[in-house]
Order: sequence, then structure tokens, then C-alpha cells
Amino acid sequence: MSPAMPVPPGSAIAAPWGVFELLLLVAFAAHLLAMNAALGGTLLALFTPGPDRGAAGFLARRLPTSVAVTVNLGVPPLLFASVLYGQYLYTAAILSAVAWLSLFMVVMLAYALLYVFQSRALQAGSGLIAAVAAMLLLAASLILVNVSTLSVRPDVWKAYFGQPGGTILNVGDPTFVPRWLHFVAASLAVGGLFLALAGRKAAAAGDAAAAARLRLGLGWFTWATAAQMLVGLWFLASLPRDVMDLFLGGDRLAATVFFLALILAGAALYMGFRRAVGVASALTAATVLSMVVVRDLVRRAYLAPHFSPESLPVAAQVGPLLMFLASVAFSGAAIVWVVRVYNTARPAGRG
Amino acid sequence: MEYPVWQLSTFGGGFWIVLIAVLHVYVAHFAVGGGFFLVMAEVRARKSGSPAMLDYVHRHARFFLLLTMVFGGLSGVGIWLTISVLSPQATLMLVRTFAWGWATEWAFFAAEIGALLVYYYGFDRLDARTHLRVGALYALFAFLSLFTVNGIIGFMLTPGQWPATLDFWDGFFNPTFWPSLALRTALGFMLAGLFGFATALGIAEAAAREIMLRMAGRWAVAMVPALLASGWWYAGVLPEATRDFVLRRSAEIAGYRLAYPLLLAAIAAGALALAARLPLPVRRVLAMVLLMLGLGVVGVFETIREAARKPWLVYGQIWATDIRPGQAAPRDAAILPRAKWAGIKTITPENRLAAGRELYALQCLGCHSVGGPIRDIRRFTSRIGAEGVAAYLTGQGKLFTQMPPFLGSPAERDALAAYIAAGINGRAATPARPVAIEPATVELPAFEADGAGHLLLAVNTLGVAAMAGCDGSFTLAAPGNTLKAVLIRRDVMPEVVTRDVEVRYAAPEGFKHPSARLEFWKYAKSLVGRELPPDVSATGLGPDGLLTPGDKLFAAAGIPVTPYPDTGGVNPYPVFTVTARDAKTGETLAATKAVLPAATEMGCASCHGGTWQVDGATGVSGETARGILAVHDRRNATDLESRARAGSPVACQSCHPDAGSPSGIEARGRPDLLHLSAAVHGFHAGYLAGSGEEACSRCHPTSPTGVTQAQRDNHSAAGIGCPRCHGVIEDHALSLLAHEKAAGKKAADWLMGPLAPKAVPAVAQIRPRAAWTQEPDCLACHKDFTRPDADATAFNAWTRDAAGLFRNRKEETGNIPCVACHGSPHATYVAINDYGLDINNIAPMQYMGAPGPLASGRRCDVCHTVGMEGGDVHHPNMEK
Repeated sequence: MSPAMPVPPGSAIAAPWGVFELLLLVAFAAHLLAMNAALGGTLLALFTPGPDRGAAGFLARRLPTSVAVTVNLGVPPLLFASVLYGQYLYTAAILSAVAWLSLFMVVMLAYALLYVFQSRALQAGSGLIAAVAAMLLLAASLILVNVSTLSVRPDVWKAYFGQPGGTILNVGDPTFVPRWLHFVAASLAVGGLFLALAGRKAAAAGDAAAAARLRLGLGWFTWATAAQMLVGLWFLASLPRDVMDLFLGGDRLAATVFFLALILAGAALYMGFRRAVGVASALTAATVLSMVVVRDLVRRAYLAPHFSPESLPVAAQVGPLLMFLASVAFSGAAIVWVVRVYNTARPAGRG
Repeated sequence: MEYPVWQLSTFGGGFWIVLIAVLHVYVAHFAVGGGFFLVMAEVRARKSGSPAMLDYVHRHARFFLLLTMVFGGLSGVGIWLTISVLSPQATLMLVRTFAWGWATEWAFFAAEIGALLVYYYGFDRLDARTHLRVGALYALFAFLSLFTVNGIIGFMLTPGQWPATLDFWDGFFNPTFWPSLALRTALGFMLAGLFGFATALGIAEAAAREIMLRMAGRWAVAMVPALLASGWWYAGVLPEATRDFVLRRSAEIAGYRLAYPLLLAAIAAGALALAARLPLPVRRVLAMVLLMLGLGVVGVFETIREAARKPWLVYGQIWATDIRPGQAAPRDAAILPRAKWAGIKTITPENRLAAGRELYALQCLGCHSVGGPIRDIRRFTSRIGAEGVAAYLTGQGKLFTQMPPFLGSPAERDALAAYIAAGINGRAATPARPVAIEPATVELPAFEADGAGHLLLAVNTLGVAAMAGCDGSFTLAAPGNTLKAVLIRRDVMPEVVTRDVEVRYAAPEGFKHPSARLEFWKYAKSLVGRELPPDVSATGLGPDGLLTPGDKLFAAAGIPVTPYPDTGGVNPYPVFTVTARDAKTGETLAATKAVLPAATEMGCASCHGGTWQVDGATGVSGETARGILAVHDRRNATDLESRARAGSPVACQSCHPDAGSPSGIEARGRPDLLHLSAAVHGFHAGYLAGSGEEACSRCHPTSPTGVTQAQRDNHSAAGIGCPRCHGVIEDHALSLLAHEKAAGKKAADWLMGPLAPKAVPAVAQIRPRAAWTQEPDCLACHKDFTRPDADATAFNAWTRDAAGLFRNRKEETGNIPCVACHGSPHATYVAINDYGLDINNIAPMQYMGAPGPLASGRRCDVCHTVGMEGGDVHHPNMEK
């Protein structure tokens, strides 16, 4: 774009692209962790074997909140991804409009079902409710994997000319299945970690049920993470050759972040075997954050021949950014306060 | 253009955003007001120490949590997902411009969720004071998130200074910010009351129940005046054109405009009724009804707001079609090559309908579903064919701005029109077939060139008296043609005779009872204000009668004649007999024949629906006429259609002055309104812009393949069409409107706005002219009565007044009217159409045996009995 040409109003972004990129990565990592807990927790509640139904009940009480947090944390990534990559994201959204638009309905239904499950987890037939909720959440993940992969494949978009009704699905992409399995495996792993982490204090204090939950959770975490390693390798191998090569040494930043992520994952797995739940959780969060950076590098590598967010015109205004930061601080303080008063209050009978 | 279009049909037109957005707004505003309601109810419950009340608050909080978190929260995301696929460019514009605003709203929403979860789950855990504080935090953050979203939504309607400054704060704190915030907050509180009714009815303990019901009732009722006042405030800060559209001009939202206060009144009444101790089942039904009315208020408000913003998504920046004006310029350039996602780039006869489909998706689908609930395009277009749709597209967005203009080349416009007519409405294109016409035979009266003592020349002065033929619905022109006759005593020095002579005219057989097939007389009282005997015109003349002597000629104005002979069929050229007799002796001095052409060939049906009334070739049918009146009523707040249905049709001249019309009734109309000709041409010009002569024959009976073929003169035969003298329709309309504007008529400016002059560079160079009395001056081209240059044009060269008109002038001796020798306007000799040579050139054929102006070919003896030499006696250059 020639710098001399005036930019149509509303095309410029409100801060240097790196600001949005940073916020996108952090927010998306947070969203993924919450999503993993929600999806993983639902799957775990469904698959928890017989005598450990207590884990299902334990999870069930927390699942609606985890979905609420996931949805809320999904908003900033959608916002910042739209700011930076909106043309690609929305084009892919239109091409798969039926699936894309179903996303919120699918999640809404799953969320509603999880509220039903919350009060009935230990009753007969509750498995069906959890199963439907799990399938809906898996459908949501498929929808998002679809739009994510489609948005970086402009070469596939010409399918629109034969299929303009919003029904294009990118399942034929070699990265589609490994990418999706990568998220499912991550959900099982983080779901297990969530279960373990939530019972950690009580288990240490001698609560047998909590200890059982901790063992169960860690078991899921370690096995899912091990499987994740294989799925991850498949994912890497399914990438286009020139993109894959970046992470195998072709680009210094990409290779560094990728290997860092692998090391963190390995360390988390090791800590999981060592039953150091807290450390494993922290390492897992760090792994997710590094993998989110890797994912972003993959996206930018796919788009590099067509577009880079650096090319977006910038019309920065400090005031609104300050307003945002102030709102985060204010809201964050409020959230911290309400959670604290909740945790420190004495439960009165019900809990 | 930059994004693919999600091809929908039934669920197009914005169905998804309407459904999801209205439901979300309903729940989301409740989420704000309801938060305050919960806290106030809890305060009340704790103060009164009633466990039943506190239990109610706890249960209401659960309901509140489920509804607002599950449905409210997810549907908010749903709106975003929907607008990103329906209007991606506009969405990105808002996302990029207000990124920090959206991010701020998210932060508030996060705190809202956190507070609500703790408020609900901690209901029994937290002590009262802390619990109330948590609730208050929820209410605060809910309000803050509304505050933030409100700025961005208001921006879409009134961007204020932002387009100039690009400053976030100018866009955020835009002109509608505060009234919108007031309205939405009041709405939230009202909905809190309505939902409060529904849940409070579940309280078992009567005392607690009545207290909560009354509380909910106070909230609902108190907000009704607040919603009315804030709605009024909101309308007041709108830009004038928008406010005028919303409050007055829009016919489309008239119902919604009324519904807003009516629904609020109903809610107030219902809420007050709920406070009465009616049986519980009745109250439950009433509560459900009130909830529906509340949803209705949301729907009505949002519909009015969206309508106010039309045709824009962001006012002045991006249209509802998700296209920016800057992307689209120039508007009449082909758009398909520039649309990234159009499968067809150039139109061929084979892909025409498919190209039309692409254009429909690009420019229409965003607002018009095909066969669905939202503005089904079939409802608007099924009555007309491709020609009418194309005309509509041409005029779209020019006078009525709730739609954006059509973008594309004339070929693309026609392809879209063809698609809508054939592809969507299933109307097969009917190829135009020329009307089969038998050449007419005329029995010419005898003329003895040697012995005849007198010569009678009779000619109608209008070329054709054009009517609509739908007098049961309205009348544009009462039946009445004008005849001028001059009686010449033949001699070397001939003399015009007017004294002691009686000149009569007589209609041919079959034309003596015009009332038999024209409804004008049935409705005369309503149309012209008085009863008329059958077959007698408004000027008191019948099909047979006497011509009145005047200044060297005889004249009769308003002879009732129609193109409908008693025997059936259509004949626009009845041949009247004109006879001059000695008043004393009764001896016939001379006789001749003259056509008094009449026509009803107005092609209104192609745009207004319906078909021809008579023989598939002429006459505006009742269905078409009612379509015309319906549009007029909708756009001008008149009641013409209902009047016509009640049997009291009006003449257009009863409102629109029509001064100067030679055959019309005395037409004063309302002096503040546009002259009828200026109004009709001025309004329709936008819809026929860019056409040449074919535009004229859409309404005037001049189509060369029609049943009348009234433009039949020597100019036409030489390939000179209407626009060479009268201008193309834009110029033609501008000349009339310029006159009206100079006369201070307000509507002239509005109609002139979208018209671009073609013959001159700027509107200021169009010379104003008064209809009927200032017409193209023949001498502008025929300088000094000579043959003009090949490219001569008389546009903009008007006669000074009626005296300068061809039909009123005489030659230089002041004896003979120009029309007597040269023929009627639009039928000057040699005139020819499918009706043949004889009927169009009666006088020359009678007196010379050959067509051409009288005395052409040096036949001066026609009047002078001998040849003449030298001099341009009658007018310069006459010998050429």
C-alpha cells in the first residue's frame, strides 16, 4: 500500500501490530487452558470408571463455570485475531458459514446440558447428558479447527465457486486430523491436570477421595501427554514441507521456540510421573503458551506469500489503550476480590 | 466485493442477524437491569427478614444466571459470528476502529461473570453485607459493559465527527451516545420488572409474592415514561434527514413507529393489572404476555434504529451491502470484474441469468431474502417484468435513500433485472411484438382546383390527445382535442373568411358515443367537479358541433374523442369531417377532413404492474392504475387509492397545477405543489436515466411498434428523435424543474438532486421553461426558416411564451396558421406511420394529390388559383 494514498477510514489498526500479537498469544493460551479443562473435564467425567464416580461428581460441579470461563476467554483471541488476520479468518468463516454459525449454538447447548449434568452427575442416565455435552464440545472444536486451517489456505478457497452455500469443510487438509487430535489429547491431559490440581490440597491433608482423584487425574495427564508427543510429531510431519522446515532449523526463532516447547512438554511429563502436580501444571501452562507461539508462527508462515500483519496501516491512539489497561486492572481486582471472599467464606451446609 | 457472499435464499435478507440480535438484546438488557433488580430485591428481603423473599431472590438468581450466562453470553458471541459472515468488511471496520473498546467491554464482562458466579454460588456462604457488595459489583460491571457496547452501536448510526478526525473518542461519544444509553438502561430496568413478574409468581407465600410483584410492577411501569422520553430524545439528536425519515417519510416503518408507544402503553396497563389480585393462572398468562410485549419493544426499537440507518451499516462509510462508496466508484462502471468473488466477470447471452444471480448475491441478498420472511424480493417485484425491475434499479437510492444505489453497468443492471424477473419470479421474457395495423383508407372530399371558390384547411393542434384511459382510478387528461380551421376564398389575392360563415365538425360513425367505452363520464362529477351529460366534454362540446369564429380562423377546444370506436377495437385516428357553409343560404362552401387523434397508450404497466387494458395494446388497466395510486399514497401520504375504490377518483390536476395544457380542464390545483408535468417527468427521470428516445415511448404514445405511433412527422422520418428537440428525460425534467425551483417550490430541489444534465455541462445552464407554453422553438434549428445543420438541436431554446408556439403562430401576413399548411405538431408533412400516407396527410392529398406542406412544389395555385412569383411573402426562404 502506497504510504501516500489515504487509507479508507476504519482500516487502520489502533496500535502497532506487535501489541495485538502479544495480547492475542497470551489470551489464546489462557483460552486454550480453560477450554482444555472444560472439554477434558467433560470427557473425563464421561469416561471415569465405576467406583470413581466421585470424580465425575467433583468435575460436574465445576464444568459449567469452566465453560463460562472458556467462552469469556475466547473473546479476546477472536477480537485480536480479527484485528490482525480478519480478512483471512472471516473469508474462511463465510466459506464454512453453516458450521461457523453453529458454533455458538453448539456451545450454548453443551453449556446448558452441563448445568443439567451439574445437579445430576451421580444419578442414573447422567452419562447420556455428559456424552451429548461432550459430543457438542467436540463438534465445537472441529468447527474451530476447520476455520483455523481454512483461514490459512487461500488456495483452497476457490472451492467457493462450486459450493457457495457456506458448507465448505477443510477435512481434506493433511493437518486437519492431527491438529484436531492434538487438541483432544491436550484436553484430556489438561482435564486430568485440572482434576488433580483441584484435589491437591485436600489429598495432602489426607482426604482419600481427593487422593484418588489426584491419582486418576495424573494418570490421564501422563498418558494423554505421552500420546500427545506422537500426535504432535504427526502434526509436524503433516505441515507443508517449507513450513515444517522452519521449525527444524530453517528459521532460528521458529526452531528455538519449538524446541523450547518440546523441552517444556517433556519436563511437564516428567513432573507428572513424579506426581509434582503444581510444577507439572506450571510447566504445562508454559508449554501451552510456547505452543501457541509455534501455532502463530505456523499461521504466519502459511500466509507469508500473501500477507503479513506488519503491512496493516497503524493509527495508534494511546488513550483507548490506557482505558483498556485500566479496565483490565479494575476488572481484575474485582475478580480477585470476589474469588477471595468466596474462598475465605465458611461454607454453610450446602457447598 | 472483497469477500465471498454466503449464498442463502429463504434465510437471506439478514434473517440470522435479526433473530440472533433481537433475542440477544432482549436477554442482555435484562442482564443489566436484572442485576440491579436482584440486589434491590435482596436488600428488601433482608430488611424485611422474610425467608420466603430471600429464597425467592436465590431462585431468581439461579434463573438469572442460567438465562444471562447461557443464552445471553453465547448469543452475544453469536452476533459477532453472524456479522462476520454477513458483513465482514463492516465488522472489521468496527473491530479495528474500536479494538480497545471491545477489549474493554470484554474486561467488564469478565468481572460481570466472576461477580455473578460468586453471587449465585456464594448465596449461602457469604455474609449479607459481602454478598450484597458482590451483587452490586455485578450490576456495576453489567452497566459498564452496556456503556461500552452502546458507544460502538451508536457510532454505526451517528459516527459524528469521527469520519473527519478518526479519533476514537469522537466515534465513541457520538451524537446518539447519551440518549441511547438512557433508552437501553431504561429498557433493561423494564425487562427486569417483566422477568421479575414471571419468577415472583412462583413464590408460594402470598405476602412475599405480592410484595415482589409490586416491586416488579413499579420497575416496569416507571420505565415506560423513561422509554418514551429517551426515545424522543434519541430521535431529536438524529441528523435532520434521518430524523425526518424516521418520524415522517418512511412508509416502511410507519407501523413500528406507532407500535413503540402502543406496546409501552400495553406494558404499563398489563403491569398495573398484574398488581391486582387476580387468580394465579390468569396472572401467569398475563406475565407471559408481558414478556412477549417486552420482546416486542426490543424488536420494534431495533427495527426502527436499523431502518434509520439504512442504507448504511456505518453511516456514510459502508452500505448495508458491505460495500464502501469509495470501492464502488464510478457507480455505472461494471462491478463484476471488480468483485473478487464473482464467478462471472463478463456477461454473455448464455451466462446472463447466472450473472444476474451473482449480482443479486452481491447487492441484494443482504437485505432481501428469496422466499423467506425478511423482505422477500418476490413480494416487491413479482408484479413486473425485467423492464420494470431495470427501471427501478436505475432509480434506486436516488430519491428514496433507504436503499443504496445500484452499482454496475447498464448490461449488468439488465442482467440482474432479467434474473429477478425470470430466475426468481418465473416471468418469462415476452418478446415485444409490433401491433398489427391495417393502413387506413380515407375518402377524400372532392376538390376542383379550377373551379372551387373556397378552400377549407382544418387541423388538430396537438398531434395527439393523450389520455391514460383509467378514469375510474384517476385522470391525467380529460378527453378533448382541439381543432383549428381557416376558410380561404380562393383568388389571385386570397382572403381569409370568417363572417357569415358557419363551420361545423362532425365525428365519423362509431365515434359519436365516446362515453360508451371511456369511463370518464361515469366519474365526471368526481374528476372535474360537475356532472357532464354523456359524450359532452368539460368545455361543453360534443362529437359533432360548431367551430367558433375567432381571429381569422375558427376553433373548437375540447372536442371529446377517444381511440375506441363503438364497434370495438382501437383506432387512434378518427377522421372528422369539417364543413363550411354560407350562414345565410346554407350552401356548402368547402369541406375537408381532419384527424383528431386520441390515444390511451401509456405504458405504466411495465413498472407499475398489470397489463394493457384494451386489445393488449393500449389503455392503463385498473390494476395498473391502483398500483400507481398505491405508490403515490405511500410516498406522499395521500389516500388516492381508497378514494378510487370508493368510487371517487381524482384528476391529478386537483392537486398538481397544470396551467397551459391546451386540452385539459381548467387546472389550478394547489399552487405550492409542482406543476403536473414537472412532477411526473421530474419523478420518473431518475428511473429512466441514461435512455434516449425509448424512454419517451414508455409513457407517450410514440412507440414505433405500438398501436398509436403518434410521432409520425417528417423529423421522425429523417431519424430525428424526441431528444433532439425536447432533450433526454433528465434534461427534459430539469428544464421543467428549474422553472419550478425559480417559482420557489420546495419539491423541485429534491427531484433535481439526483439528475445529471446530459446536453449541457451543469444544471445551471439548463434554461427553465414553463410546461405547455415554452417549448422548443422551431426557429432555433430552422434559422431563418432554412434547413438546419445535421446535428442541430432545439433543446434549451424555448419559445418565450405560448404565442411563440408552432401551434399558435401564423405566417408573416398574419392570415394563415403555420399548422394549416405544415400539419399538426408531431405530424408535420410528410407524415407517415403504419396507418399509411393518406390519413396522415389529408389536406395535401386532398388539395394537391401529393403529400407535403400545402403549396410545396410551387403549388401556390392551391390558394392563389395561379402560380406566384418571387418573394418570401408568407415566410423567408419559403421557396426552397
